[in-house]
Amino acid sequence: MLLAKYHTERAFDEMVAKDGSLRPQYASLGDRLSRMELGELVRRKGRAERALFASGITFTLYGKEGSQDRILPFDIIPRIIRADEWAMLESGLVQRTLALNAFLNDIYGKQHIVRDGIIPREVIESSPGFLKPCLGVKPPRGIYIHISGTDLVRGEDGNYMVLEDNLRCPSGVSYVLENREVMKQIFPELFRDLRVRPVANYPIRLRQALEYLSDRSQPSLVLLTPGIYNSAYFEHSFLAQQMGIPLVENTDLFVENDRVFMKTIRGPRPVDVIYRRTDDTFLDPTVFRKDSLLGVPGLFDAYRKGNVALANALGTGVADDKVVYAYVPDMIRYYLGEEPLIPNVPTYLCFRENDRKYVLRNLHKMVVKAANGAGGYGMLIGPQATAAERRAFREKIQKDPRGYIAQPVVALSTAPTIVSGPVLNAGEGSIEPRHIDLRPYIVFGKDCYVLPSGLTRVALRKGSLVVNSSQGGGTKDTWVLES
Amino acid sequence: MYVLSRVADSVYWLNRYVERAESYARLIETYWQLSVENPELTGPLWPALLETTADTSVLQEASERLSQETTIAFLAFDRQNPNSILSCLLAARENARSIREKISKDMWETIHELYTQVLQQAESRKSPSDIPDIAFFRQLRRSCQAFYGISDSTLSHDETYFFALLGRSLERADKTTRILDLQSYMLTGEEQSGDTGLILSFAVLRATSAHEMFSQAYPRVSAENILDFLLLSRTFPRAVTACLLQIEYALRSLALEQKGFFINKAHKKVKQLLLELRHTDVSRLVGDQLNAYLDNLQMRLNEIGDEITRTYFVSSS
Repeated sequence: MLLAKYHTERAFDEMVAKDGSLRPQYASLGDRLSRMELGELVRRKGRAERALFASGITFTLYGKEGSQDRILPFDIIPRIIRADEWAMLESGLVQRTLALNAFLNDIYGKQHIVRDGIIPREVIESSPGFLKPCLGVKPPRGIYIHISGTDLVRGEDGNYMVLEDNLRCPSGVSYVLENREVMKQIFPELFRDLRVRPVANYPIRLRQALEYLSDRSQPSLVLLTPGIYNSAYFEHSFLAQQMGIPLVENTDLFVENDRVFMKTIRGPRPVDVIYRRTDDTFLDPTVFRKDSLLGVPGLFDAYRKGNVALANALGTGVADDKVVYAYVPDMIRYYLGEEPLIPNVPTYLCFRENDRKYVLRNLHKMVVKAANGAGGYGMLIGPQATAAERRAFREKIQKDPRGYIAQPVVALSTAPTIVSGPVLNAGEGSIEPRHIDLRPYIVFGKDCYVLPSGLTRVALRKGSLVVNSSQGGGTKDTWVLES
Repeated sequence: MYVLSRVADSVYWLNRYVERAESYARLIETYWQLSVENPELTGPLWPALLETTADTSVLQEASERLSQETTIAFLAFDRQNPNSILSCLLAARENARSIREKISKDMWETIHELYTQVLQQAESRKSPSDIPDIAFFRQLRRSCQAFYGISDSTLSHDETYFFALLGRSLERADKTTRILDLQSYMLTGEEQSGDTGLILSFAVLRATSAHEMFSQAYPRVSAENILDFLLLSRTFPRAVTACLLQIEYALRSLALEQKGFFINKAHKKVKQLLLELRHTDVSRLVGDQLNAYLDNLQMRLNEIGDEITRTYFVSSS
C-alpha cells in the first residue's frame, strides 16, 4: 500500500518500469514495502539514524561556540543493481582505470598522446592539476590511481554514463561500509530474500594494495590526514582503524636523508607507504604551496627517489580536469585499442570555438561546470538558473573559455525514497522518486578491484539534480546482487 | 605497532585535563562548604583558592572583582581562564577527538558528554555571577571518576594506557600538594593546632576524598597526621607517594629493557623524589617550612612532567 501512490516521471526509475511494473531486482523489496505500514518504515528509519549516530560516522559543524556532530541524511530504501548490470559496470570501470593510469604514466613520461595529436598540449599544461615537478618521476609499480571513485549517472534511457572521475582523494567509502552494517540490522529479512554481495573486505583489499607498493615483506603503512578539522576526518580515522595502520598528521612525520620517518615513543620509525588524504599541493611546502601547514618538508624528494610510496601518486589531478575528462574515451581507444564500455556524458569544451558558440546559444538547457571545480560549486544548471545567473556565466565563459565545459542536462535516474510530511511520526509522508547517482570505488593494486557496491547519493529535495552532501544530498545503501 | 608520540601526548593530556577538572570541582565544593560553615573565613578564603589554582597573570586581572560567586564562575566556566573546568574539558575533548580510533567508544562518549554537560550549564547562566547548586560540582567529580573507570575497563592495558596513567597520576600528585597549600596559606604555625586548624584539616580531607581512609589509619585528626597521610601513604590513591609509585610503575611498564639502575631521566627523577619523601619528617613541616616544602614538590613534579615530555613526546630526528 506504500507504493500505491508512487508516480515516476520523465527520468528512468530504478524500481518501476515505464509500464508500471516492478523491475525484477526490486520484486522482493517492492513486495515487502507494499505490505508495510508507513509507521513501521519510519520506525526503522529512526533506528537506522540512531545506529549511524552511535557508530560515530558523523561530520562536524563548527559554530561560534564549539561544535556539533551530525550524520549525513540516510535513506533506508536500498538501491539494487542486477548482477549482469554490475558485470558490465565492473568491466567498464576497470577499463577506464587502466586507460587513465596509462595516461598518467604517459603524460609524466614521454607524452606520446600529445605527440600523436590526440590531446592538445595546451590542455595539459594549462591544467592546475598538472604538476611539472612530477615529470619523469615513476611511482612504484607504475600505479598512479590506487583508489578512485568514479561518479556514474543514468540517463532517461537507463544507460550508465561517467559524470566525472575522482582520482585525487575520493571520499565516502566509510559511508558504504557503515550504511551496510546498519541495513543488516534494519532489513534482515531482505538480506535473506536476496543474495547481496558483501562489502566488508574493502579495508583488507585496500591494505593489500598499499602493501603491494613496497618491496619489503612487512612494509610500514600509515594513513596521513589533514587533521581533526577536515570534514572527512571520521573516514580517515575509520579506515586507519579498520586497516590496523597508524593514523598520522603531518607533524608526526619528518624526512631525513630522503627517508620518511614517523615520531613514536620509541624514537623515529621508517615509513614505506603513505595513504594520504591531503591534497597534492599541500603535501610538501618546499616544492608546492609554500603556505601549506599540512605538509611534510622533503616528502617530495623522498617520493621522487622511490623511498616512499604515495597513494594516490602525485599529479593525478590533471586527469580530474573536466576538459581532460572529455578525452578519456579517446584515451581508452589510444592506450587499450578498445571501445569505451561506459560512455561519457556528451561534453562541450568551451575553448573550442564551435562548441563555445553552441553552448552560449543554448545556455538555458545546459549544465555549465568549472573545469576544476568540485562539490557542486561553481556550476550553472541552465534550466533552473535566472537570466542574471546565465549572464554571469556567459561572461565567465567568454573571459576564460578553457575554464569551462558544458553538458546537456542529464535527468538522473530516480529511486524510491522516504519523504517526510510535516509530521512524519503522525503518519504523514510517502515514498517518492528522487534523483540519484552512484560512486563505485576502485582499488588498483596487484589487480584492479571494484567494490561490489558504491555510494548512492540522493538529492532529497523534490526535482533537484544536485546530489552533493554539501547541497542537501543524502545517501542510500547500494546492493549488488550475486545472481 | 609503536605508539605515535602525538597519540601518547594526547592520551596523557586527555587524562591530565580530566583530572584537573575533577580537582577544581573538588576545590570548589570544599571551599563552598567551608564558607557556609565558617563565614568568618570567607574573606581570605577565595583569594587563597585563586592563588592555588590560577596562574598569576590571570589572577591579577580577575581579583579586582572577587566574590564567592565570581570566583567559582571564574574557576568553573570562564573561557578566558585556560584552567577553568570548561577550558580543561574542552581541551580533554579535543585531545580525545584527535585519537578517537585509539580509545574506546565508551571513553569518547563519556568525555563528550562531560564537556557538553558543563558547556550547557555555562551557557544557561543568566549573569556572570550565576552559579549552579553545589550538587552540580559533586556530580561532575563523579562523572570524571566514571571516566577513569571506563578507561580502565575498556582500554587495553598496553602502552597507550600507561600514558593515561602517567597523566592522571602526575596531575593528581600536583593537585594534592595544592590542596595542602590551603593549610599552609591560611595558617601560621601556632594556629595549626587550634579550632581553625581543625576545620581546615577536615576540609582538606574532604577535598581529597580521604576522610574514611584516613580515619582507619590514624587515631585523631591533626595537621601533622594529615600531612603524613597525604604526602607519604603508599596506598591511598591521592597521596603524593602513591601517585609517584603509579608513575614509577607506568615508566617501568613502558621500558622495553632496563640497562642501568634507572630506565631514563624521568624514572631517575621519580625515584629520587620517592627517596626524599621517605625521609621527610612531617612534624617539622609547619608554616613557612611547609610552604617551601610544597613549592619544592610542585617544582619537582613539573620537572618529571618535562622529562616525560622530552623522552616520549618530542621524539625528534
